[in-house]
Amino acid sequence: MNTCKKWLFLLPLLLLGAGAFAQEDAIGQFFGKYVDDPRFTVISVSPRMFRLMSKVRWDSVPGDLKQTVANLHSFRVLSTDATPLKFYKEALTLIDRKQYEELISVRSGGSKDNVRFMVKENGDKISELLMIAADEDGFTLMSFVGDIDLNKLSRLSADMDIKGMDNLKNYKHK
Amino acid sequence: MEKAQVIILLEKYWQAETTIAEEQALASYFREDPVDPELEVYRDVFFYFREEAKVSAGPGFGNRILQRLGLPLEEETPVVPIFRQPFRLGVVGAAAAILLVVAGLFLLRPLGQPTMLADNQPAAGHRDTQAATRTQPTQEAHAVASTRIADTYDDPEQALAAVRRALLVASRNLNQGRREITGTSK
Repeated sequence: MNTCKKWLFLLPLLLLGAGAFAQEDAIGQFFGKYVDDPRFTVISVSPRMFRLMSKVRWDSVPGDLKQTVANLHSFRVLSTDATPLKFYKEALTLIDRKQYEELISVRSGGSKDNVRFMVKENGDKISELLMIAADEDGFTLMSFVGDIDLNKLSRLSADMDIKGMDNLKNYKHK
Repeated sequence: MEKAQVIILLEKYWQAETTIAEEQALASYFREDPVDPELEVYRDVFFYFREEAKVSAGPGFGNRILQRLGLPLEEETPVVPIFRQPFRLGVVGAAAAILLVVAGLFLLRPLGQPTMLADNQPAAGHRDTQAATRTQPTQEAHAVASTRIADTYDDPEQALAAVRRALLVASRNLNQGRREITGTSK
């Protein structure tokens, strides 16, 4: 009887351990929740695939892009055009602010047009870049894991014609 | 037992000549009613012996005697379990608690958790990965994680194209965000 009580007392510890872990990986939780949801488009590129990419012909790939991709470890996207602002809010509440630091937050069009960048830092390096974007047309959650150089990332689109890229706020899968 | 017999036995008793069986017979006679009024006075004698026989040595009696005799004390056996058991239970409990927390960490790992373990699976499409892990039940937790982040593309070239496109989206949003912060846009 007494031992029985003790085990009952220990049970919450088990859940505590799991709970701590779940809290740590809010983004994984979000992905896990919606990965099988038919409303979402999911793209996932594993570390193994990133390694296989080295065998691809890189002739046509610009230098900055090549280096950026080479430093990536894994990549995931969730996007949907259903109730984008609702998912945007949900994603924000799930993110652990102790781990992800807000980098840039843009809100325009009266809270209907949102983009947020968050980073997880490891020392002075960025180990994960999270982009959460939502407007009336869609919601996108993107996660790049790896050694991320923001300046290089910024340069990727700097020379491009801005006009032609307007539809690119959200990642639309063909 | 007859009164006369009791008187004979009593006489023997006072002379300390009774056997144990006879003494027990006397004791049981005085224990049971009715006792002859003439013999009533002896009843208390046997009652007294019966009651006093129940008294046993109190706790620590042995040690008090040993102390008087100046001999080393024996270990106080009743004290030992009270002192030791909670300690051992505490250690076992702590170990169990640690085990449980660790088990909680690994077994109840959220499904969407990205993991390097996916990397160690046999190199082929993710369908093969699933098949391989199904035959290895010990890697069940890993299997869940690896299927969750299963590759969308089997072709690295397609994967590269997707990553490239995503990087451009991120890059563009990043630049736009920076411009708005510095006030140079619009």
